[in-house]
Amino acid sequence: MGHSRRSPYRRRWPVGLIFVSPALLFIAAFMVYPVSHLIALSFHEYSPLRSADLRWVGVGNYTQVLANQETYRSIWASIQFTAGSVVIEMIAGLAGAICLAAVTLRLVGRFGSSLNRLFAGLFILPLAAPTVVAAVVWKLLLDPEIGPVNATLSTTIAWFTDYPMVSVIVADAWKTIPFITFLLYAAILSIEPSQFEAAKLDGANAWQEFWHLTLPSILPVVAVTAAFRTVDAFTKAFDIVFATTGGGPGDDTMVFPLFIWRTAFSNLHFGEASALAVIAIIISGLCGAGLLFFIRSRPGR
Amino acid sequence: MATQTGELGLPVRPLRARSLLMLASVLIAAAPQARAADTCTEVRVMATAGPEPEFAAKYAKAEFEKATGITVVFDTVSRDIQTQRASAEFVGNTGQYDIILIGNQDKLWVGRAASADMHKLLPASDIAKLVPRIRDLATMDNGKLVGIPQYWNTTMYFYRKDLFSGAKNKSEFRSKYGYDLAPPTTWDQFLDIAEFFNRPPELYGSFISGISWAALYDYYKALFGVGGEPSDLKSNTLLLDSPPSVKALSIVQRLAKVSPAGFRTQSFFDGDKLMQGGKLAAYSNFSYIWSALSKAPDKYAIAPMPGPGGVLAAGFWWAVPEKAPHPDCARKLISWMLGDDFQTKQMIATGNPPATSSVMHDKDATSKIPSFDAYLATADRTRIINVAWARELGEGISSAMSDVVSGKKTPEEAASWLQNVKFKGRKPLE
Amino acid sequence: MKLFAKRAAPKAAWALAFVIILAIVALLPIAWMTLSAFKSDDEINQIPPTFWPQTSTLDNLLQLFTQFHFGILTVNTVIVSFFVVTLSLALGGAAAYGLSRYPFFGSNLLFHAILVTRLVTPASFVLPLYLMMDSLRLTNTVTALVIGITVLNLPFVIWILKPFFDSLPREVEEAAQLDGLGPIGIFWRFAITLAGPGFKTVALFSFITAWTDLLIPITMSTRPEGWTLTAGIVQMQTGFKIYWGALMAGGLYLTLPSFIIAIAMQKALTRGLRTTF
Repeated sequence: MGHSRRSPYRRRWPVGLIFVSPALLFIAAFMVYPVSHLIALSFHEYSPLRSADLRWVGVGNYTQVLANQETYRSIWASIQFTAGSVVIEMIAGLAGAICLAAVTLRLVGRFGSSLNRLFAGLFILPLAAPTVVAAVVWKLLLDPEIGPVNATLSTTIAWFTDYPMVSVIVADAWKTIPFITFLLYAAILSIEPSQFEAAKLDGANAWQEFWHLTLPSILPVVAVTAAFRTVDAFTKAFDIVFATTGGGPGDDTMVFPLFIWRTAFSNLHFGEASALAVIAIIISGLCGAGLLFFIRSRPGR
Repeated sequence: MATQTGELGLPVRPLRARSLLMLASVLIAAAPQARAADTCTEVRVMATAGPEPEFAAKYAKAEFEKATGITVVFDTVSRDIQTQRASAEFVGNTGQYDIILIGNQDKLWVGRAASADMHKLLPASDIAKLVPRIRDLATMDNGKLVGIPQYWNTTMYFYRKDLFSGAKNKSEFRSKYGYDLAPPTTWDQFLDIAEFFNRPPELYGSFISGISWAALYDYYKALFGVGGEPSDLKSNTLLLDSPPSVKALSIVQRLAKVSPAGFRTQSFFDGDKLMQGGKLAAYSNFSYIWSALSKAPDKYAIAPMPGPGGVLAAGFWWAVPEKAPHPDCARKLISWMLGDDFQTKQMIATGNPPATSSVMHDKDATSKIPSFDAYLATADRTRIINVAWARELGEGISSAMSDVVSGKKTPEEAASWLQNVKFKGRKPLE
Repeated sequence: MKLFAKRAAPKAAWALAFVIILAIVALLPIAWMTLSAFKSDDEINQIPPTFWPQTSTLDNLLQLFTQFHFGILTVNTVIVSFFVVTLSLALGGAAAYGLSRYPFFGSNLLFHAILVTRLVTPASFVLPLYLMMDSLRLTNTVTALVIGITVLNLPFVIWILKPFFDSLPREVEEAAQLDGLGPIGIFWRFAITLAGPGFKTVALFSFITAWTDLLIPITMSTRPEGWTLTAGIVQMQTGFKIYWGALMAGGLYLTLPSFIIAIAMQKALTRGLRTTF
């Protein structure tokens, strides 16, 4: 990418380093060093409620954590959340983007473009709202007694108690679907209009247009988005669960990041939590490596 | 160099000056407040969410601040992360709070952490005010007084007097169970009564809490009641699969069947609402709820918990971290809190018995609380949770309770799981 | 020209219906939150719930400031957001520029290494960061929050800005170099203004990240002076009483600023998303 270009600045290569070094130092001090400390800590026992000392235990934390049923229940909760939310969000987002494009591409005139802006604004809103706000709002909406959802459906289902994972996914989907719609809509917009004209001249109906033109063109974007969302849903599911169910009932929705956090900060077992944290990094590293490989392998990037 | 404007309309300043400015402002924003000598103008309290801390906050702001001019700040902490907050104060490097409200289940780990010994912080005259039994409960084996109880709190049995005195109920109960309908003296009677009155959905027999920070109380109520203990501190072993523990889990199992569905995410505060709404025949809860229920004396009544064993004590204790910024102010506030005025007003407002002997024996004051002798009858039976990692224990017990209630495990299996799998190798004092 | 092409009319109707449903679903919770923010707690607790407030009240908003420390939380959040954006742009922009324009041996590897740090699970990362901040006695300070959020944000910033810089024409810089400007001068005069749109996008995303982050404030701080608004609002659910009115008012309060800014920078957002993929 950079080396092959004939650059007049090649001789002054330290300059690049000078530009990069502040960020590099920052990341080294506040990311690399803590993470290396984390790895070291995972081989020690450090539970300040018991004693202030660190005690070397080798792989003791790992064996303990991997023998613990709760670890697997937590990972399973994460998998459920990830699968559920990504599938729902991608499908709804894709459908929304297609429909939005179908509507707006056929809208003309000033009314059309302000409608465009309106939709864009509407779909930005859930993105701009903090996740905890979405969580709190949905807690009220799904409240068994005073929530409008139950009032409309004439039921008294305690959603967050009886269907915790579904409720959490719904709250997350509400926040994410507009964002995905927006993203894919932007991708659709970047398909050249001339291709649509050509398709119409060929006599394609809406379905053929979608299947043979729109979908293949945006498939790369869809795939990358799905991949990113998967990694994010697995590793960053903290906020929505913390603010709604707190991991409960029991540990039905104790997704992995929350499990790590509770082990560290509620139970103060920093050694075990570090082992879990390292495992989480390994998992997301593998996912990310897969992601990178996938991006690099796409032609025409 | 004339100032240029970038695209955002902000002037573009030279890099170095800007970053120096930034660094400086970041450092200034971060500078910890200068720790001046303790001029004692403020006292910060970390309070767990609950009715008694709420009362203390209000009254302290009204009376203590006026009397002394010291600002009182009560920060409320939500129950499920209370341990995180409190442990940060006792274990971390910076002290933010002067007083931390802890529960009896926190006694062992707070006692061993960087907390002040109340004997050293408060004058002996203040300590002498405490009812001896509570003072002993809050004292470690090595003599350290971990915290000052804000009030005396026991679990009591609350029931619907109107239902219990109905003639039809009485005769039906007598013919079904063979003894008279009355507040239970054993846990088996408790369950009989609960099952008798369980007529969903208008009336439920009882209520248990399912949410993790409250579930363990129901287990302990049953455990202490049948004469058991969660651990043996002398031999430092857990007793989670002892016969009383198995019995406690089977009691919980039977209780769950007569509780409203949806208790898995509910706490005793939700139980209060149901009782006040007339949906519960009887339940056990901490004494604070009596202030609300006693307002309808024809409808509700109070009785000691069934036995023959002990009774779960509770209540918030005021502990002071060693790193407290203003220990002098903390001392003043605690002394004030132990005064007769506060204790009396608190007793009347919250329904909890007082922490001080003088108010406890003040007939004028205690006569304002209906059936006060029910508290006195329970006083000597009170026990506390004696494990240094009660929160984790609570999660495990909550999980075991959940398995037992759903039928996945029998009480024996669940108790065995607690002792031999979940908390294998753990000791009450680690 | 008609509003819809004739042949596509039926499909467009379906599509419009779907879009409208999506828009309503996106909007309704926000609408409910806004309306509930002005209802009294008694009214919110009514069964069945009401839609429009019967008696509107500003008490909830007031309660935010008197009981729930929203004053200091707002100040904190604004300060944190400002510094996160500034630091991210400064450090990230410089780094992206250096990697793009002055490549050196291993710079490509460095770029990918920085990207890899984006994969670190925040919950994992916050553990050692807390211990580090605790030993530096920086818990409960705004500094800890700024550092934590910036370091999680930097890889993203660099990842977005480097392609931006790559796409800038080199002739401008070569001309400036001939004029005698050093590399830093070039960076300031031209690269920043040319990459303006990119900076805008990154600034917006960084702002949203800082404004909405929960994990860092709630871990680093135990008292309101060290929290941001998101940590504050989550704390309002105490397990004892639920102040629905205040919660909804707080939600409204939190969402409004980022919504306004997002609308204002709508173009930058669209462009940024387009060039990302």
